[in-house]
Amino acid sequence: MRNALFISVMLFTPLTVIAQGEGGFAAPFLRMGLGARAISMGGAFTAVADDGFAAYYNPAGLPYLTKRHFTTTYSFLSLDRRFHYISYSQSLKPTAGLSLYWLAAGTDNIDGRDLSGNHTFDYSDASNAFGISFANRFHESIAIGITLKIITQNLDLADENLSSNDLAFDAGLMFIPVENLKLAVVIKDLNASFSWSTQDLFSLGTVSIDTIPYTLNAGASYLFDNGLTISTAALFNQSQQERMRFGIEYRRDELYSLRAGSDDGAFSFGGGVRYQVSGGVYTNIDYAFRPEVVGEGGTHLFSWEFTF
Amino acid sequence: MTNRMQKHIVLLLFTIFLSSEFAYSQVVRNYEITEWVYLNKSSRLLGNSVTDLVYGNSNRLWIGTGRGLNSTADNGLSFDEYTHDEFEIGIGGVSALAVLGDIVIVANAFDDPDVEESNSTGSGLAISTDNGFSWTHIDQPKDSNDAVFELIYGDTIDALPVVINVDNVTFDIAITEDSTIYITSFAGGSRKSTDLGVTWNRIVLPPDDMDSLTAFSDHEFDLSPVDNSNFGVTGSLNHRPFSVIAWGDTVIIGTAGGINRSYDSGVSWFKSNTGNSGISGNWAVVLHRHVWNGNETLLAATRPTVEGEFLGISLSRDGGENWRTVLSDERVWNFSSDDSVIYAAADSGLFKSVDGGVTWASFPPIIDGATGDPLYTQTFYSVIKTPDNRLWAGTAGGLIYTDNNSSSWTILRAVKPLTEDLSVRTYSYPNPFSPSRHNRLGGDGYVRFHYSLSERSTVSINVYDFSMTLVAKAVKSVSRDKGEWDEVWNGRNGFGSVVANGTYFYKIIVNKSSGGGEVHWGKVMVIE
Repeated sequence: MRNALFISVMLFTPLTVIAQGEGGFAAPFLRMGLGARAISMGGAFTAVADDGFAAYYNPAGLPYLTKRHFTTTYSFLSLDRRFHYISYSQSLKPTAGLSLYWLAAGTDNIDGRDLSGNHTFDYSDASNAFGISFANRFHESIAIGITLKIITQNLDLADENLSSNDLAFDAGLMFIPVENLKLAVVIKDLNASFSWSTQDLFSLGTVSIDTIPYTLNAGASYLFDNGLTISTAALFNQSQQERMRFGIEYRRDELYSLRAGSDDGAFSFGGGVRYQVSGGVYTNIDYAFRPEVVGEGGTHLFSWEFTF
Repeated sequence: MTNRMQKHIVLLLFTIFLSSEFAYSQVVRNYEITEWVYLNKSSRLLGNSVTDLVYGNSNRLWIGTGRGLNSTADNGLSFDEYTHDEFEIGIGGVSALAVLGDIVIVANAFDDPDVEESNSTGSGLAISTDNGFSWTHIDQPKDSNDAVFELIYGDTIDALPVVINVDNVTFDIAITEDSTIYITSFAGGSRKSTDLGVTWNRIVLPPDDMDSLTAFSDHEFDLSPVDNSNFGVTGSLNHRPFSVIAWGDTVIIGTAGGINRSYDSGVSWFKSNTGNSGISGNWAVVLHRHVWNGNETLLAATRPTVEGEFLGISLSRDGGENWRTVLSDERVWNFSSDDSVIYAAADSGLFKSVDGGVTWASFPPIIDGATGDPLYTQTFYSVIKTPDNRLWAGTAGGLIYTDNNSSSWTILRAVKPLTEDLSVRTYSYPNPFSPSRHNRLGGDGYVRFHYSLSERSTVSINVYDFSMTLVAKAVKSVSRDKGEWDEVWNGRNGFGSVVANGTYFYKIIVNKSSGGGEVHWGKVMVIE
């Protein structure tokens, strides 16, 4: 009965409609979600955060890791976009956890043109986030984690480069009131902005600042005894409309998993397999497919994780 | 020269090219004279920054653009192109243009990628004496290494030879009735040629602390417009010329230090400046002589170089001895006369005076009468009224004209056709796009999305960020005929804010009138 109530609360939260033209803020790659497992669960991972993606979704999940995780992911995105992630995570006995990660995103083949439409050069745009996360469990049921990240963006104009970087913070809380139920709150991308100087590019260069909006994530997940996990997350962005995310995962005997989810109405699905490499070393290969949202083409994501 | 003043001068030079098409160094660097652009009305114009308009013989209108020289002899139906390869024209944009009968002289400049901290490099002059049929190239006029002195009235003064083309850009040319040519090159000084540009002589103007240079004045000064280290100026401001007009034996040269008059073809000089004659600013970037009903009016567009000077037009009715300010705070680029009427092309629009330059009225916003498109700039660089009563204006956004006293306009623009590269279905331009710099109109800047339709269709364009979050609906279900089209976006999102720097993705959704549809994606990099 308690479970049913919980499910109904999570599933019947109304979907919100994305407002018209709410994008255009700095560093959108930080707000996309990543990892095949998380994406196939609609990105509703804030209160799951039990693998190598914990540092990204909720650093407070790190102390609950039981193994060391080495994770890498590759996304096949349309429109010449790149989006990759690599991380190392482990718990630090008895109560702490640590992770290092690198998130890289970018766009290539940008068709440079002058004021008459003549092709000039092909440009590219590259963004990175280098994160270090530390978390501590203050009680069996409560942990707090923080991530410090260096965020960079570089606009490569063939003969000029424009770049900017800043420090940003994430802070997360994981609360486990009863066994298998996790509640989580994370605030991401605090205190960051890109400052741009166009002195070298334009005749009368200027300095402009693009603030990176912070995002508040609140989520819940529940793991049933039969290996089924359901999760939800709500994102409240400083500048954009809230988003609701839902995910479901069925894991069978630590062998394979099937997953599905919805990110603000955009459905995704995927699965993963797990096998033993040798001794205590295991590997997971996860896949997710996210259909196109606005006709840009679907996204295939692969994640590969070693645990040992 | 103070640092502050140097900064002003550097800034001023930058401003000259700000809206021209060598605002990005890479544009000129990629100068491809084989890549024709065409004029979307009928024919081809080399570039959309039209900096000079001069009327010549055989009804030919000469057009200087940020990408080279054009002319039209059929009132804009077709355009001739004068390129580096085909003719002996210097590479780069047109920095000065003068025409007298069949004599046409053009000066070009480009941004040299190998030169750090340079504004631009003079690529020389080209002269035609047969109305543009054939051309002779003249290397950017400069000095031999041993030209370390100059003789004035039998006295020797020290001179610094100008031996390189960097920053040696000719910004104005004047031709007199006897084919004497005067040029003003910012770092290269004032020069005169009486043999159609084969040989050149330096013109010595008074130094900053003297108001005249005659047989009786002090001859103890140097002629050194520049020393070659990072714009350091050791010479006087008055040896850094910018503008010139000449007729008969009269020559008037505008410099960073005032306006200099000579009545003996450039031997003796009399200087007007803010200290002695009331001009609005010492930096005279454009000069113009207006003669109507036997009355002569001299006009000078000035820029401030130090506190107390200001932008504006100065006007003189006594041959340049005394000046008054008539249009302050306007950054004027060119003048033109049509009988009693004087036109001024300025950063904030096109101005007209019917009382000899005392009072000025601006033109209302310009809209193409046939397409309904606004002119996406307020920056006017040049203006001329041709004998058939057509008023032409060169702007930062193309060449425009009106035949009916500005009640309706035609906007001619250069745009690269999609048919030349079939793998490209759409492009955005300029790319990168700076909302605060490009195609400015009414507080917004605009980027164009260029695409082609095979039949009449309904078109929508949405803009997304990297995460495919909708940024803006730039165009909503507009109806367009078969052909190539531009749609515009002002770089703002649904909140009305200019978007953050970065790459945006636009999606053109075409619904054909015969049924069926197409979707094309493109990218635009926004750099505020």
